[in-house]
Amino acid sequence: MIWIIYANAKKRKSRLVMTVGGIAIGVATLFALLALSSGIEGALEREIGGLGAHILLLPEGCPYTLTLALMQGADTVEYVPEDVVPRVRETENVRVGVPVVVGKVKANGTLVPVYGTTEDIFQLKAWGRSPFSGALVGSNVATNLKLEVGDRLTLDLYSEEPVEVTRILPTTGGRDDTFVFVPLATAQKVLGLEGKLSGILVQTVNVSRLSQTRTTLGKMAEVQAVPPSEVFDALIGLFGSVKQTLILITGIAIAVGVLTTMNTMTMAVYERKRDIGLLRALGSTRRDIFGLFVSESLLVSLAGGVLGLAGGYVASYLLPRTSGFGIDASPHFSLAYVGICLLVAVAVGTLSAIYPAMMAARMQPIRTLREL
Amino acid sequence: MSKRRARGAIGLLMVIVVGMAAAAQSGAGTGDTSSVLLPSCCAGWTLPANAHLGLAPSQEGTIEIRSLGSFAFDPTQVQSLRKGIFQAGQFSVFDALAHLATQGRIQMQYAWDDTAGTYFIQSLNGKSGWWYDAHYAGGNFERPVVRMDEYPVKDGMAIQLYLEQPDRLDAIQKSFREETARLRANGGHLILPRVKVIAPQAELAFENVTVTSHNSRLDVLQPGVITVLDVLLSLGDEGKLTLVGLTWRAQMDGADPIDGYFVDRIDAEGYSVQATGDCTYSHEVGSEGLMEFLLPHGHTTSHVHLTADLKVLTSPEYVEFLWTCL
Repeated sequence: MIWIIYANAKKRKSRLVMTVGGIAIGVATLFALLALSSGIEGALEREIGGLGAHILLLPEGCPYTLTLALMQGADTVEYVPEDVVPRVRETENVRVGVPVVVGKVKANGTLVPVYGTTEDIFQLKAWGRSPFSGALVGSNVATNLKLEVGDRLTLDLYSEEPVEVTRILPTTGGRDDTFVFVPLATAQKVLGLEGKLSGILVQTVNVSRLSQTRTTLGKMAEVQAVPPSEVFDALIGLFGSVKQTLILITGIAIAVGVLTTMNTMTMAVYERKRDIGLLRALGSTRRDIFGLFVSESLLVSLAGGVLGLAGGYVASYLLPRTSGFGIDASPHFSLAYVGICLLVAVAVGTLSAIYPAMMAARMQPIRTLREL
Repeated sequence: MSKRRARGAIGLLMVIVVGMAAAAQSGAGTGDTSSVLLPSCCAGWTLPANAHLGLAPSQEGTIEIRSLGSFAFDPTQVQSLRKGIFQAGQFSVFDALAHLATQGRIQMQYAWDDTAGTYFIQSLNGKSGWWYDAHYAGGNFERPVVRMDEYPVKDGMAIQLYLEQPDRLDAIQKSFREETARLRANGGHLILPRVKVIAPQAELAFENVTVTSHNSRLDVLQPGVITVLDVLLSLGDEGKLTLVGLTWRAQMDGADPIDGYFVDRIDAEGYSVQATGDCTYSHEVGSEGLMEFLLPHGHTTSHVHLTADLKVLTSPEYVEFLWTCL
């Protein structure tokens, strides 16, 4: 059987290439979509989770924009007054309230995000404790600016502040690697934000009472209390609507693959009437003929699937990596996606072969041979 | 019986007359909301002259300059540097800032940039790279890309100056220069490459729309100044729109003053979307070069409170009217 399939493929090379190509495009689109969307969702989860807070206290305004700004170290125009911090810390069920101010400043002449906070930040991050003075530098910044412990770093925006690098932070693979962490007062001075905060990161004692704590904190003037999970859900929801459109496009590409393969197989049945007649005359059963065409279609689809996986892998690296939320998201590959894509290829092969294979199996050998 | 009927009719008539008088009274004050449908029988695609008047700023205003503090100004003392744009008594955010500099309260150097068609701050407190954010009462900061000397000041407005990220400021200034170059290339005529009207279920698109002034807000702007509203009115002149519905709002949801026309309805052949509930058309003016500087929910110059009738146009790459639910 394999020999027959091989001989047929060799005879009609260009048609084979086009059929495999059609399936490969559909599978490549699916694979890239799965890898990219998983990468974006993972990046969002990592970034928002990386804040280390159960509740974010933000200024009034769009909570999603403000959360993203806080994550990215982007300056906003609305702020939380610093005098809110003691009241937050006194609130029932609040374990820790970490004041944060962020913005981009020139560090030794290069624009980097600076993160002003207090040593309470160690309670939210998995860096291990150390004295919080001078500048704690994220690993990427340290590499880019060629910084080592003991080096002088001049932060400059509204005012110029020299600080000493006291620690290079361990690589986290997240946004923390891109920040320079400095004491709150230093950051406020450089950013021209004395007495103001970008937000307060709150961790609760009892997570099951998060909702009540959020309500209490949300009643404070000039702030809004937002759980990061809510921001994550909203952003995933926004991304989800884009994803649905992409899934629809992928579905269309796969449906086109099914139709083109079906067309190819139907043509093959007509062109190989003689072969089918001979095979039947030599003793092949209808099931053998049916199996021959289904196997041929499956092999073609699997070849398209494998080629599509390779194409999807390359495409997911070539496509823009930004999620649209200002977050760089690398594609995430998993064996499950490979399996899904190959299953789709197999489904394409089977679906598109059933009708032509049935047609071939139903052919009468004597009539077929007489027609030739 | 007939006497009773006559008395009833007179009573009803009186109620109607009193109601109309009350409506007219409120229309002259600050709390009115009244609608206009264009084209009108007599003036076509032009709003009735001085149908509604916006109040000139009269209360003490403030500008917050990051790292320097908050500065109050008396609006009656501020003179506009853009006399070709603003009527007497009206002025822009930049005018208020220049007023503070004239008084010697801030150290600011500024200059007219002919290639960008606007004033730029060269240095303030020894630093360069300043940009601003502003919103009217009841609004939020929106990161505008509006020339600072074209953003009209109103009572209760929040204005903040800050050092902008260099790449975003460059993109803003580049977009202004491109606008001026486009205007010159078109011989001084405002020709919009792209105009879109976008509602949830429908979309209208126009290309190369020549926009002329319809002098809709002579209480604030000088005759001949072209605004975003003129885009719709010019499309009406060309017969590409069949109806535009506007609602004058003096205040809204605690935001006071608004003093502007909201675009509530746009009709064209096969397209009709009318305001329902809290929905209206907002506008976005901009250039492709600014797109990468938008945060989620960010805009180039989308505004609800800076209404289309007050947003001055130079010659942007596109204008979009977006169906927005408040």
